[in-house]
Amino acid sequence: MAKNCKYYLEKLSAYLDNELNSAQREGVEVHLNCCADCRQYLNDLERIHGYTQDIYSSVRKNAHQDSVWNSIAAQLAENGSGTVKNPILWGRKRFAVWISSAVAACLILLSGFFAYYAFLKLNRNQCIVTWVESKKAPVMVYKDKSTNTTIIWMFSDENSVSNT
Amino acid sequence: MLKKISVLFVFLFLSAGMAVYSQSDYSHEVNIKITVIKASNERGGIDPQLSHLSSQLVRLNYSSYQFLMQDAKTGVPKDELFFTLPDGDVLRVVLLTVDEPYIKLYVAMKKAGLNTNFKIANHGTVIVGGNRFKGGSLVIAITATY
Repeated sequence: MAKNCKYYLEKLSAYLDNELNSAQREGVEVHLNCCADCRQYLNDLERIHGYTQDIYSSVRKNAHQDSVWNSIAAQLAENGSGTVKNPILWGRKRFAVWISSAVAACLILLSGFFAYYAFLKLNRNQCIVTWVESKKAPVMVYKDKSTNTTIIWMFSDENSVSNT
Repeated sequence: MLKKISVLFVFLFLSAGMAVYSQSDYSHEVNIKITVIKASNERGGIDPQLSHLSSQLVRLNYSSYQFLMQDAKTGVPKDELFFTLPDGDVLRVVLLTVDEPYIKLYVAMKKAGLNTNFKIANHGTVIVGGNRFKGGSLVIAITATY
């Protein structure tokens, strides 16, 4: 291996990646024409580069990210701005708003029904006597507040009066 | 968005209204259940069959409450229901109207000479009594349900 081979070996990777300017490329090519060791090294490098390209492309094929990023890039290109409107996410948000509204409405409705039935339960034993007439004995309408019960009592004799 | 929520609320409100309206339908059947009790100052306490009425009966201040009979009949408003009582009297119940949560009734006992008109809450109980019966008083618990 020639003395200046070290210099060109360092440049070979950049040469393969087309990162050298025209003068540098020309210099490398001149050296390669006259140096078998460096040509061999370049061949090895090309082979390795080929392997890595294959692996990278197969990984890209299997990854969904590629299509996701492509769609994002497409949307960016369409909008001409940095804002990406994801239709799926936007739909989910709207659905969530609908669901929460429906749940809130149901809760209001249920609380209304509970209040209504609580009112009915409170009034369970309520009785309102509009009128009462007894032809044979005095009659009394008594409302017991503790049990919320209405009693219509006919006093048929003295014993009844003493009891009530 | 607000419009859609408003429409949803209106729909729910109307549904609730319809449900309440259907509950107050006059075609609802009304069940009248009577429990006839002999209240006296003999020994005995409250009959186990009257446990559901015990809190109301104790207010009458008798020492014994004996279960005599129970009967239930169903009708719609404007119907007349007749119950024969142990003392031979007939309890006549006319179902007047159902006006939520009340049921309006006319109750008459021919032999006892009692006529009364009252409205009672659904599942409510009214106690009518005082007639002498076998050394005690006849007590009738009237429960109305629709």
